[in-house]
Amino acid sequence: MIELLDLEKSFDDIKAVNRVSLNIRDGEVFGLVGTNGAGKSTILRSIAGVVKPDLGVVLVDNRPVYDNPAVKRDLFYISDEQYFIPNTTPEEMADYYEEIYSNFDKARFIDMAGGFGLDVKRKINNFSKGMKKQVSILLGICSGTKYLLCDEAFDGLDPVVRQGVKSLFAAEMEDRGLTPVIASHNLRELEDICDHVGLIHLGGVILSEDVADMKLNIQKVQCVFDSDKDEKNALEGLDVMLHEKRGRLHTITIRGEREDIEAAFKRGTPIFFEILALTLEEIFISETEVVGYDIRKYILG
Amino acid sequence: MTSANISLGEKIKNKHKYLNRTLWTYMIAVPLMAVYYVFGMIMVITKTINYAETSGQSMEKFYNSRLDAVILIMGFKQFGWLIAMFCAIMFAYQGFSYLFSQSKLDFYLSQPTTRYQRIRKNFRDAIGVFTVLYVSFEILGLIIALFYGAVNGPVLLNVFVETLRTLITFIVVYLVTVLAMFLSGNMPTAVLLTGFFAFLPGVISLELIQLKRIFFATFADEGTSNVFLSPLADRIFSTGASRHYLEGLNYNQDYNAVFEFMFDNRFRDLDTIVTGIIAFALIIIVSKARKVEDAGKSIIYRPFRWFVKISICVVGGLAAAACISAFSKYDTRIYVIMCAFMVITAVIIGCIVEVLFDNNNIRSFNKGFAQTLMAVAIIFLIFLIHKGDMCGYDSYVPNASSVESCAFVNEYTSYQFYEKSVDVFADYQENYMYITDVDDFIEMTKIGMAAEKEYMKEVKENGEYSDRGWQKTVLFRLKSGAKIYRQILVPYDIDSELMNRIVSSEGYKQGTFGCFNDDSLRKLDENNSSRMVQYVSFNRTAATGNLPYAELSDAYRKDVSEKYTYDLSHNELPIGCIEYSLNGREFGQAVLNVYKDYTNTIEVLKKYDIYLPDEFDLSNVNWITVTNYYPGIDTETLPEDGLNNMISEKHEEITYTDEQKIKEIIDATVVTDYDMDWYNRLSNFNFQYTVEINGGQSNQYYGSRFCRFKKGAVPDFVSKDTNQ
Repeated sequence: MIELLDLEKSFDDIKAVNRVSLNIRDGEVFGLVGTNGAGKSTILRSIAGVVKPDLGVVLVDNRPVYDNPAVKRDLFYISDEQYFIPNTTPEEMADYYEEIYSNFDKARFIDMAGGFGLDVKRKINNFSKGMKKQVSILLGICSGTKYLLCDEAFDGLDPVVRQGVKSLFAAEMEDRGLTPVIASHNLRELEDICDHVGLIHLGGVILSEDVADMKLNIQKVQCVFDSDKDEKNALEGLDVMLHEKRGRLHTITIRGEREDIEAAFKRGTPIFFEILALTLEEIFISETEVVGYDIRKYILG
Repeated sequence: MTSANISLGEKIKNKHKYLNRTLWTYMIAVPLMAVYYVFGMIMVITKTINYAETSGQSMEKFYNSRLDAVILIMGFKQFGWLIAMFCAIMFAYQGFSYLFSQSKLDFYLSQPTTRYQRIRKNFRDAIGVFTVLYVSFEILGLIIALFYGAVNGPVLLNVFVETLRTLITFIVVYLVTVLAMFLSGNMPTAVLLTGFFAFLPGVISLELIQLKRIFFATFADEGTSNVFLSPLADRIFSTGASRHYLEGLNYNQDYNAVFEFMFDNRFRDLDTIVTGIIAFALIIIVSKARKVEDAGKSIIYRPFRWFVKISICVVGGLAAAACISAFSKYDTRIYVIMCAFMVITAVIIGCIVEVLFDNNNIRSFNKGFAQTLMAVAIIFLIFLIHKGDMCGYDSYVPNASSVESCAFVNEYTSYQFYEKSVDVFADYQENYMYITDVDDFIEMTKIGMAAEKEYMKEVKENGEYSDRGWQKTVLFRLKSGAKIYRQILVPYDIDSELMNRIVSSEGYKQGTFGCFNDDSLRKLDENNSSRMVQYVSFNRTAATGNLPYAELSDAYRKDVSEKYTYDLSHNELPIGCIEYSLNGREFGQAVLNVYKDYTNTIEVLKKYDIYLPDEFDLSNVNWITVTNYYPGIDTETLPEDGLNNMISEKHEEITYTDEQKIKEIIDATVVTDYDMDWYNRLSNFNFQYTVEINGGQSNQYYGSRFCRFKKGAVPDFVSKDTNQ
């Protein structure tokens, strides 16, 4: 398990990570989502042992990670801007990692690269952005590490490859208990792969929950009331996160379980009442709006 | 690291992979070393062989030249350390450029290593690769040298020691460059900082010398180029020293020469090692404190950034002062201009540095004004310390108890003997003069320093030079090993008893007259057919090839030991001089002044029938030309230094052929073209006239000897003829 305890990191005057505590359980896909500049990459780099936190600690299986080669042997980090040794081919990079990770499976790498249509003898600097990303992910998977840390893992991948990579992650989790940690702002990509999501905003964790629980705990309701009194009766005692009104149609995001909300709305006897399925993206927008992050305010005024 | 348990074969395979990854550095280093050590060796030895064939060199000299060729390419005289420095900088940039890139840092630091393991691995790879390349090419070069018979034990030892020194140079420059990189956040700043470390000590040293030259009257530009913490300066000085020191037939056939050179250069080598130790310690500290997010910044530690900026501003400001001083006369106005230029330069440099340190952001030019102000304050402090001589430099004379010996240095040496284009009598006084009568020497120095200061003050204020005494450079060798040099002016009227005690001392004579240390000349003179001994007296010469140098030198030594005093040289002029020369493959010459009392020398001259009367042979004088440089004035009636302030706009020149007038003129003149150290010219010569006496056998003076009238002895007809 990866534990982040009261992690704090500042870059000059900017606090990139502010007292973040997270638990990443083994065997599940952890999605780290957040606004631009929220501190996702910094958290991931702290987990990878690249960045030294100002305060707090990152523990991997109860061992501090920073400057600890024994722990780093269990981690493979794919940064957003991947670096490859100049003038190397994927095969040479595999050779390089073979020296570093004792469980690196070069034969499998070559096999998988072939499956993805990558020429392992071609110079990587001639590859497209997406191809480089594929090479990085395959190197990471073949390194045989317990944890795979991916910053914007699916950025630049075409839909087919994206699906292939997701399948690979699933297979690795099944076969050897791989724990992928994926930082992204593309919530749609994470929705169908992540078991657990941490929402980061302004360096802090807004929410860290299983995706299923997250969806169960937030409900989006569309309804029409006969009168203001009915509306008041229906919403009394509910944790309303967002409330929009267009004409008589109310769209309300409410924190709480479906049954409790249905029961509350019965008090208000709405003319029309429907609970809609929330996407991860909608949950993210709702949660960040609650803490004041509403880009529409800046655009629309 | 992760490869700790892999087999030797895998290690070699991995090393091959490392070389592939660092191919560009490898591709540059290999041809450089091949050209210098292999082709260089072939070319130098071939040149030696060609020279030996065309010049008919003796077998002994030929062998010596071949041995020297190896030392020139691989030994103490080599310039291969420049390649080592270049490789060190290149390898450092290759190994640590990841510090400037976030993506590279992510790549390397996420791998299962510690920061120290990564640094250690880079160090090991760089030093290992360089050592393998360097030693490989040296072995190739030595095999070639062996093929030409240019290797012996001492040469091998020389090459071995130099190899160690070069490896140390490589390591130290590598460490300094790595330190510059760890202190920088981007490549341009690292390059600037590398240059800062490389050149700052040398520039500071040069500027301090220049300031001493400007402000200190007694500053003597000798042995003061002390540059500390600079491997570059250490190497430049030690290579220069090797080219002076390692000369002669036997140095490359003598193991001791290697150890002696090492001993003489121990402080330079030690300075290089100390620089490396400091750089290494700082790397440990800085690498521990350096954060990943520092990549992309300029200089990552603010106090160090201030230090660099202030240093550059100070150095720039002082350089401006030095430039101004080079073009101007010294007066109050120049000091004002100097100060203004120092401030302007420091401010401009401060602005440029700020722009550079802020990633070429021109808008940052006005930042960091506090540091610029601090730099200006430091510049003024340095200026005031020098201008006001707050350290007492111009009055410092060491305590007698701390002085081991003293010497006059930089004097004219009448001996020359060239071996391989180098004069073995160069720096004769410094090498052989050890005056131990320290109290008298210090007393004379104090008088000389006071006179020099007063004289230089007047020169700076009025821009006029005058003849008040003998300009001398004195050296105090301290018991601590330090050397103190000062420029002094020994006034003509100095206490002659004091000077007699100094000049009559054994140490003074040993270090002034080459005859006391002339073994090389004696050895070469034996049975040498190119020898020529000529005695020149007034307008007569006599020569012989039969007088052995050793016999002449023995007699001369005896005379100098017994007869030479300050009084003698102060009051009397030589009656003639002996000109000894060897003009064979080796060139040597000596000029020995002969005084009337040098009876032993005169006896030898008589024995070989070349002694001549100490007077002009009037029958051989064709004409005399007298030139009066101040017509209409009698300079002897002017105050003591009245002549100094006069500008001669015209001169009168009269040629006499009349025998009687010639005789009268000759009776009133003295020959002045001898080396006349300590002679009281001001009291004894008339400087208004020159007298050219033409004729006689003395053709080495182009048929003429140049004389002056004795003071108060200008014939009336000459005064009349030239003052119309």
